[in-house]
Amino acid sequence: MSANYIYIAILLSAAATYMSRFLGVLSAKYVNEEGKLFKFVSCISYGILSALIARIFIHPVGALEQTSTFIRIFVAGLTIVVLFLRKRMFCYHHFLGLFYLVF
Amino acid sequence: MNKTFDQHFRQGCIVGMGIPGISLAASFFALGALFKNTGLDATQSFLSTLISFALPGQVVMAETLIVQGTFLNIFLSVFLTNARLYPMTINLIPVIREQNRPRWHYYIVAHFIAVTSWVHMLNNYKTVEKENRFSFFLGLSATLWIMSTITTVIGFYTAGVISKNIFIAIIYLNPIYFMCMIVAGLNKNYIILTVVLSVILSPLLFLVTPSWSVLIAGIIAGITSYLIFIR
Repeated sequence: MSANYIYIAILLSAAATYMSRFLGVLSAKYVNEEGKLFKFVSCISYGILSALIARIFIHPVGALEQTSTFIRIFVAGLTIVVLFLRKRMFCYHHFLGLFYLVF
Repeated sequence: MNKTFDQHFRQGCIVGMGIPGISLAASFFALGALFKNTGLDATQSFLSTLISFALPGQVVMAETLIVQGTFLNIFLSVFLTNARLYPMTINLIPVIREQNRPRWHYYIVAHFIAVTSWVHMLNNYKTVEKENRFSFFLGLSATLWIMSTITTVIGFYTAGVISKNIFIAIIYLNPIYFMCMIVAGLNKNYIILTVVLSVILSPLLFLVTPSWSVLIAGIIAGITSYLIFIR
């Protein structure tokens, strides 16, 4: 791969990424915090994000493919259990994921 | 910039350097290693996070580079992968909007919108006064951006040094963090239904259309939940 090919690819990726953000700001002027449209967009955003996480847990790509689906789901489930048991310190419970996966 | 702006900007920076920053930095650390294996150099890895700052799109770019994809191929696949940023931005801007702030400020802050900062802001915005949310979000997201850019380079230089198991665990840290933030923020019926439907639909749709499963599952779940609870 030539350096120029990689640099152009990086610039194009950045443009493709910023386009969604730019269009988002442009469209946001029609949305207010209390309106139905805001709730609709919240539903879509949470939907896409949850779908992405579910996909990473069940059909991951890259290095996570080397772990078993059972372990990934087990770690996620255990983290949720601990999250509910000790809600006040919820931020720290995702570190459990790191611990269980290593050991 | 006034004193209140500084104070909330600083507060955002401190929050960003905590759990959100550590989780995100872990993922970008892994991305740095991936870039090295793909054939990018340190400057290219640094530049990619600096000007893109959207991990799934960067991974797709690296994968397309490996197979020598065309520029159009790279542009379209990154655009579709990062299309989630469109509804996320529409959702976030009304939350941080201030009456007298120039519009171009939002186009700049938009570059820093990513899942980690978005989830954190959407879960906690009611704890920050409306007129201070922009400065808080700017502090939070810019800190995440800087940390991600630095850790991409660190990941690049330390690729192969850490053990495989720890490396995998580091990659898993960020999805687990997203999951915790979403679960902790499940306080509205329409969000609960959306999340449950998405989690069921996404893996099923993956078997039919792997590249579109996330977008289609999210949109179907979101529309269904909206029609049941809000409309």
